[in-house]
Amino acid sequence: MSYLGTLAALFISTLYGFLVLRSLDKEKDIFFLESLALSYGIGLGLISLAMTLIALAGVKFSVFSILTVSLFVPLMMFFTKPKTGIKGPSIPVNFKPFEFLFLGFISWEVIYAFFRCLIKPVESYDAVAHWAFKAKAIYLFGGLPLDIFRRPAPADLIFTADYPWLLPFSQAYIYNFINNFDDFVSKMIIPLFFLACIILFYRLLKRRGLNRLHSLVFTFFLASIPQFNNYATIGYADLVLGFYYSFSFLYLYLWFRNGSKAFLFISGILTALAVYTKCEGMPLLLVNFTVFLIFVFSGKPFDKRKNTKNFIIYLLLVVALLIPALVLKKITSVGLENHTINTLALSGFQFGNIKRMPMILYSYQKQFFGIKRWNILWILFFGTAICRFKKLLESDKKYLTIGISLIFAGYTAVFILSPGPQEDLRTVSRLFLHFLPLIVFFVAEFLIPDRMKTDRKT
Amino acid sequence: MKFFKVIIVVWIIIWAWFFLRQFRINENLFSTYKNLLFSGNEEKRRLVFRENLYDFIKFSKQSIPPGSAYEVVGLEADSVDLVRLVYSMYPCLRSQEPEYILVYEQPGFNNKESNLHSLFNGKSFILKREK
Repeated sequence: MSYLGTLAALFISTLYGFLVLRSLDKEKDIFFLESLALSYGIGLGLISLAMTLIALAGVKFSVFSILTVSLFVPLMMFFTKPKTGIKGPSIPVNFKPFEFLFLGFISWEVIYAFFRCLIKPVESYDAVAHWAFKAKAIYLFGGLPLDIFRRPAPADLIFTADYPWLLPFSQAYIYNFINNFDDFVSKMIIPLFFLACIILFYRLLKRRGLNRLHSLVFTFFLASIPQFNNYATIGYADLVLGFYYSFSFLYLYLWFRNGSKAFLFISGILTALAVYTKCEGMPLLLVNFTVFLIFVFSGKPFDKRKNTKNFIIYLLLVVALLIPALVLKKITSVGLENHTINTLALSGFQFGNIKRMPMILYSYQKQFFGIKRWNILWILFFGTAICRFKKLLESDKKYLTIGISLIFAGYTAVFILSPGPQEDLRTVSRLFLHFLPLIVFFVAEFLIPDRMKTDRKT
Repeated sequence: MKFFKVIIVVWIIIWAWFFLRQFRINENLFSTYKNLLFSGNEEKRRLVFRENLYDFIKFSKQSIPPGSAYEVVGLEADSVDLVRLVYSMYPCLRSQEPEYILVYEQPGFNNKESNLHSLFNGKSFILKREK
């Protein structure tokens, strides 16, 4: 029964996300499966936003309160904007043998990920300590008391006090819906994000003009990266952040390439939800803003005015969605500090910290050559960058190069600033997951020559 | 595009190799999967948390009243075992001023301010602090 209840809960949240998406997609540019994958992420984000507002209002969580508050946004949008149809499910009937083969490989990876996830309870360190624990506490409390970290609470919870709430809220939503604490079923959230990643990634490659076989091959590359696949099974939030952030960037990138206006809004929503998921969402949000500003200022004067307006809309959308989360974080974690990077670490910065650089680069190269975790992705990435060096900063593709460079620079800066780099460097392999789809997309974008891509409106 | 075909072949070989290798390195992996697949939730938790630890957690949950404050002895600080115990024990709270001390596999452990509350086995037990 719990599995059915969980599926029903996720169906409703996805439906909410679907309503939001439909009202944004005036030009009917989003395909059916793409809609479903996006709706899943947006829907859970919406539930999380509603739970944030309910917590701030000091009201207890219940299925009724969560669903009522979260329904408000899609209903408003759906009825105040012209409704549009949907680009119907395009079921390809004439698959070629190799396409079938790669579709089979991808399906295997998805099924195996679900299998490994669902046969175990939540058991990995961070999954238990940071996310599942909070979800359990919220469910048993019946809500999120704003003084949760100041009343008698497990000491182990406190050092993650300023972690965002999307994942614990999503899990608590399921517990409320099935009216039972069952961490076997709430784990299902993560492999579903993995599946959504796979669907969206394939769709965006197609949007970039790759043919079906090439799109399937690169989607298989992404799905079969052991590190990516494993994190779909253990209940960590890194893959969830990878979903929100990577696709926020890719939709923005496709919008730069004359994509539909809906892509801009989708990117804004996903960017905000990345910040709802993990603290690392904040520097990643700055990367999106920076790339957007570079796009604005590198355009022609007429485009500059138009795109400045678009940037302001984007900024306002992201900030508006983030305000409840930031207020909640401020209230719940008052008097507590983030142990990784905070104002204290920033104020303690000295140029001597640069000495950490060799150690950081050493840990990076361990990942780059770690084929057990990454297959040959990083070798392929650097190989592609070297072979296509002259094209890296050409045309709109430069935004992809700049975005990835900024992410690397940003994460490296965090490692330089953070007080205990040796310890924190263990997380490098996890941090790379936050933008992994971008890396595979970069390889696809630069490895497959433009002449082999279909020139179409993205 | 020949180069691309080579990349695909290399990728698939590495992918298949590491997939099969996990079953060779961990010969019990297949039987572990099988056991997990055909077990109930309780049994799955026992298998994953380690039987002895899980049984101790279950025993502790039954032995102390909900919401009590406790401390743990015998599990390494920051270990995954400790985190699993704290998670499973909730709404009982781990505290620096505990009412109960959960002693896991530390037969010689003694605390002058505490009396034996319940015995799990010769090595693991629960102490209750005197007020």
